[in-house]
Amino acid sequence: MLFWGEAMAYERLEDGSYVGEISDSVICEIFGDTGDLNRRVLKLGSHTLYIYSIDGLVSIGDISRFVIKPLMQDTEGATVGELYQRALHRTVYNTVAKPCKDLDQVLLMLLNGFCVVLFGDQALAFEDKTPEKRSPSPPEVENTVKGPKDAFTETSRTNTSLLRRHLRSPALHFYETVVGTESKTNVSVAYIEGITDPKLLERMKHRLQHMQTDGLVTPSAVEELVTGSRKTAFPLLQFTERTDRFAQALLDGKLGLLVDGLPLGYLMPVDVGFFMTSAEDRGKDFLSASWMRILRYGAMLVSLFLPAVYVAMVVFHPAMLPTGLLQSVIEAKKNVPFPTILEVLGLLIAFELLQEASVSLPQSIGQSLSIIGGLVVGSAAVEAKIISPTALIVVAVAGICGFTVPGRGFADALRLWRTGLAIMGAIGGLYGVTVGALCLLIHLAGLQSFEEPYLSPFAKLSVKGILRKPLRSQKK
Amino acid sequence: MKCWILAALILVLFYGNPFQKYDTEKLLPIRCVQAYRQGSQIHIFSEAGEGYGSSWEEAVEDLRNKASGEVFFDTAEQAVFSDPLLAMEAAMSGDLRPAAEVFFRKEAEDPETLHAYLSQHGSKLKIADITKGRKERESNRE
Repeated sequence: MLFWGEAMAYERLEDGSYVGEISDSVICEIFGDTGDLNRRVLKLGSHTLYIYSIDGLVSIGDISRFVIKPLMQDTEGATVGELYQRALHRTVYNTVAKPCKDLDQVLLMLLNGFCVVLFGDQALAFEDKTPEKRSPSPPEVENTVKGPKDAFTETSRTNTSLLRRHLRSPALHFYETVVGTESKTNVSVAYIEGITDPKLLERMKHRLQHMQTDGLVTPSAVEELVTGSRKTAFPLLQFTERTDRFAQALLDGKLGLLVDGLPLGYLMPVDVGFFMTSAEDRGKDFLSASWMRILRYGAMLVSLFLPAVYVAMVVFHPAMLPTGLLQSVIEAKKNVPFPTILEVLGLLIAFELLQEASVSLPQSIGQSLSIIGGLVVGSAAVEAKIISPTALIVVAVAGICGFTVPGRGFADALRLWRTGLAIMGAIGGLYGVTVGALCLLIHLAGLQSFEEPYLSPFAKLSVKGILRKPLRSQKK
Repeated sequence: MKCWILAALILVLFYGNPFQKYDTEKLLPIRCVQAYRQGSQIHIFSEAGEGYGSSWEEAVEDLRNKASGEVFFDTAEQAVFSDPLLAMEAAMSGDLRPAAEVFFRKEAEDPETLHAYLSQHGSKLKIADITKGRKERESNRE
């Protein structure tokens, strides 16, 4: 795309970058009539300097004191070129002063909280970022009893500094790049030299370099674009808001990804075993942690299969139920107008809706909603014989077991498959459930996260991904 | 390959499903079934009601017709017969599950009381033993 200003041109390339002359008219033309661009014209003798910054990203007071004031004080008998050299090496009190080599860099610096000064056709960028940003707060989703209470924030640089406090090693490196033709999002890839597989890092760099997107501003965009085209509900990256968990994963050889604007860190490669580990596991002794993991795996299977097996048993195989239990089920189902599958599907959908509603509501209202939805409506529906108590118990148990899965994305995918398996159970009984389970197994066996098999803890017959071994027996 | 396997499994699911569907709320599960020969008639007596007929099949049919729901023999834990021939006939019909315990008794009793009593005592003879014995005899004859 070619744009013509009054006297000169600039061009916007397909990758979103700009080429052209560094001049006031070009910069003004590119930003147009945006309200947050601050432009100051300084007349220093016969020379004119232009100062630009984006309001809100920079500290206006710091620019006045540490950029404009020194520039105004050292102007005696100098050419524009000399003023540029003085500002770069002497006059301006600023830790970071970067010469901008082209128009694209000028724009990038402005958008990253720098103040840019034009000296003729040369530009200098001074860092004067505003200190206004959210301080690290305790994690909201991944709570632990003993763990540290600092979670990631929306500012990438704050996040890297938090990591540095956990891992005071020069081997901790951050590969930084910008992604998104419009959003120009700063992305940092965190890895530990000597621990992280270099091939993994190369793969990530390659993906980031070839990422074609307007913006990288939502978690789903990151997950989908980083992992490639996804035809699965299962997450191929693990997100965490805990800095200690992120740091531990880096020590375990994983690659980390920090995206400016997202209060999360992404980890890869991942497998089923990783999704079943909780941040709390590291805060417990290995026996308790391993026992909890076994329980979690059991709960995951119950959550996935219980509604399906219930439907299959009640509809196709009542003889497999103990007679006493069958009589209880029959008693509970008397006068209920809906078939078992509709009861179970209806409850599963109601459960999903309740969860969706409580997520998007403020916490105080969300709790009330859970009480009204779960207790009041549930018990009223049972009393009114709209649903049977056994179906309600089965779905509630499956739901509670689902909440024990620590990886939220993984738990969401399991919920989707749970509904599918219940339908398979209603179509073909236990045979249908078996077919569904085989489909799930085939699907999971075909998944890879950064070329690491998704079922690797099971495929390698290794207990490492399932149990937590004592720290002394864990290899570096 | 993966798609073909899945397609085959799903095809079997829709067209080759061997399992019968039940209306669970209409089931009348039986724990203890009693069958007595009274002259030329067979009298079946259970928690789901009674049935009469000249053969086991006819008596079962009568019981099903008279019952208020679907008589469900698959839960029968005990089968009480007045004579071994009747037990043989019932076992070969396939109505009773193989694991059901077999007892012999001359008179009918209230099914629930009898179930509680028999549960405490148990029997080593199962429906499966009778069908197995019958099949072995038939194969020996051949």
